[in-house]
Amino acid sequence: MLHIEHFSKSYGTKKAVDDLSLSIAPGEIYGFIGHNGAGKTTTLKACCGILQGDCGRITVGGLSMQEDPLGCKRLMAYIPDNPDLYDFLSGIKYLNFVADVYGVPADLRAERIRLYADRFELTKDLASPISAYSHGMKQKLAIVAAWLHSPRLIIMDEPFVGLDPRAAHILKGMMREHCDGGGAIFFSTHVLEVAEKLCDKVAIIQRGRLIAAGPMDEVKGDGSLESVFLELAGDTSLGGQG
Amino acid sequence: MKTLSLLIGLRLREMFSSLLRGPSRGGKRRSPVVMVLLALLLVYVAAVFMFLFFSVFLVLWIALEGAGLELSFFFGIAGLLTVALCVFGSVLATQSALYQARDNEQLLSMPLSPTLIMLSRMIFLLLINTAFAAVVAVPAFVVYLMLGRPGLLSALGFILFFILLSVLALAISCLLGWLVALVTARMKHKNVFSLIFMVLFLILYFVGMGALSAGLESMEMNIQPLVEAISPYLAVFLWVGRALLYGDVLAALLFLLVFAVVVGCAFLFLSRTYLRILTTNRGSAQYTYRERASKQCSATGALVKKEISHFVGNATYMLNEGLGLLFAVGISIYFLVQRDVVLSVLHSMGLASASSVLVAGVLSLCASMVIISAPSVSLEGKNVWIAQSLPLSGGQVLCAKAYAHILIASPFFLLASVLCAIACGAGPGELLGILLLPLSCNVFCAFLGVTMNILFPKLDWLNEAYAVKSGAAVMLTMFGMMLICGLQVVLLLVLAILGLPALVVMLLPSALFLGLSAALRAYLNGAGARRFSSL
Repeated sequence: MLHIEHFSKSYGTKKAVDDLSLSIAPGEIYGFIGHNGAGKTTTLKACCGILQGDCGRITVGGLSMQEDPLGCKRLMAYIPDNPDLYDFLSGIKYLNFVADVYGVPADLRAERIRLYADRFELTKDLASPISAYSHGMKQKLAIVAAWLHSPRLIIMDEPFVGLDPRAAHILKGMMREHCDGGGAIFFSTHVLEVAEKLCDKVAIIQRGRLIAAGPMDEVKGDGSLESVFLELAGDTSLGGQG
Repeated sequence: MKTLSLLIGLRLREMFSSLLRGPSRGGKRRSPVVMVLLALLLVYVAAVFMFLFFSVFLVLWIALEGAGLELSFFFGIAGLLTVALCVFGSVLATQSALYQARDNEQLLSMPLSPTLIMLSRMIFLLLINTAFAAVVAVPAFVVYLMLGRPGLLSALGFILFFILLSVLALAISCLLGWLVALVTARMKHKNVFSLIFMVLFLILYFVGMGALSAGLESMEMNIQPLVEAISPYLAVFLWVGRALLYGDVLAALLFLLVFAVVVGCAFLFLSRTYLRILTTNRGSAQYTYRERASKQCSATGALVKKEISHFVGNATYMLNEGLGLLFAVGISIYFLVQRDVVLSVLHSMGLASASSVLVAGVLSLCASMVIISAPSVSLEGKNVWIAQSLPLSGGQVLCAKAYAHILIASPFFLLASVLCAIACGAGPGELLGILLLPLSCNVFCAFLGVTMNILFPKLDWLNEAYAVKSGAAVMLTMFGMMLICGLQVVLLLVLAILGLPALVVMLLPSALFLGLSAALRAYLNGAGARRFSSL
């Protein structure tokens, strides 16, 4: 579903992502973990076509992001780490805007808005302007908007930040449901316990380089994901300090 | 004091970063050529306004001196114009800068006194007010130096007077801003209230300016009644005139007393209420959601609807970039009502046969003041990721901004054109020209605005009003269009005087505008789209 081959991106002299390659197959929830500034957001944004890489190739559903960005974007949805949405629109207007852009028929969108907004108990607030929403409500709205056109690939940057425990639980269920239906999810998180329980595969990035990737059981082995992550991260960063 | 200067520095960095730095993520500095062009633009804008005020003050001084009247009236008018321009220019910006800045909560969470935060914002606003005041004060000062020949002390007193006036105007703006914040706190349609408030303010301003201008026109004949009628309302400013002209210490003290009372009361009042307004959650207006069948529309249609929602949802945006719409409709109604007067004036000038051409030219001048699309890229702000991550081409996003501009403005120009055509008794050919010229100018302005904004975007604003009011794209589009349309009116007149048929005279610039619009549209779909995707 998503293939990243030898992707690199620099900001000035700083290499944010260095020769990163990984693949996500349909049906997989793929976790992406790393410390702050490791290159997670840069990679996720490049996968959505928001950022241009310096080199490498990204394909979504067999389409090249460089050659057919619109075709790729039609297959996917993106939820950023900080859901800055159009404050001047109401929740329902924002959802209709996204549905129009993806060409979701009126009856289908109504059904899906009802389904997902009800799940997050957001329905009664849909008429309110987004400017009146809390961070969590914006996050829920961004999630509903992402699911609205039934994308094959959903890319999320720290999706659980700002969500209450109930909403986080619902989102986890929706992620599983989406992948069981043949979709794929690629998301970053700092909550390693969630990643460990939820993800089929995981990739660990450090200073722009992929240091581990594969099925969860293989990456964590007999330990926990947290201990593996700290061990892998500690080998280099603590060594540098010492 | 150190904290205050830090906070003011923060505001200044925000303001200058858009001019000094480009739109890219790395924040690369703009090239010297662009910087020079922007500086030249600022000089041009200031010069145009200063020249206008200089003419007014020159006529006023000569008329007052000729009639042997008190010259302190000169200072009265200059003071009034300064305060009016400052308040009109900054009232909504003051309200949003004081009460709606994005970093209010962050600063309040720091060990900073709320009064200090408020003061830093007020001092920053004072800098803006002083810039507005300078537009009036510099020409008044030049006239005073030329004709009044003041001593050094009086000259310095004049400069001090105008600095104090900008402080006074700031105090009034802050109080009005507080009033707007208080009244709109729980309103569902804040923008409607703000719009009505500003339109009333605007009408008052222009009625006042109109009356003053009419008074100035008849000055040489009989200025005394005008002076007698207005003087009682200008007492505060007249005291300054007396202090500067005759060294009247009592008058100076009276002015300083009024100044201290107004500014002191405003500061005390605002500092006591500032924290309460920022931290009291009065609850937002209640909205009830009822599921309604929605109609599916195209992606471009959705983008256009989104742009229109943004425009009508923001009073500052509507007033600053849509003012020409009010002018167009106002002028056309005036023309229809005062048809005989206007036509007789044109007849006396030998331009009766060119009335339809002139009308079309004036309406296209109004169209040049409608710059809805000019801040539209900057207004994406932190939301730019949405359009970039959706399956939309950059050209689609940018052109939709121009289409929204055209859709919003066209009904106003259609109405104004029809009213004007009726007023000047235009035949079918002339009617076509009167319709086509303002509309084509509007189309060109729409595409030019987006082009300027994609070249000079400012996405990292803390306050939306900043993107709307003072972005480089807004300035470039507004004054560029005014220049183009001014030249176009001259061209129209020349062609009409040469005896070309009215329709041909109007079709030529229309075709030019549409041709240029097509070229800009092609740019937006090509290089412009690439710039958008790299924002």
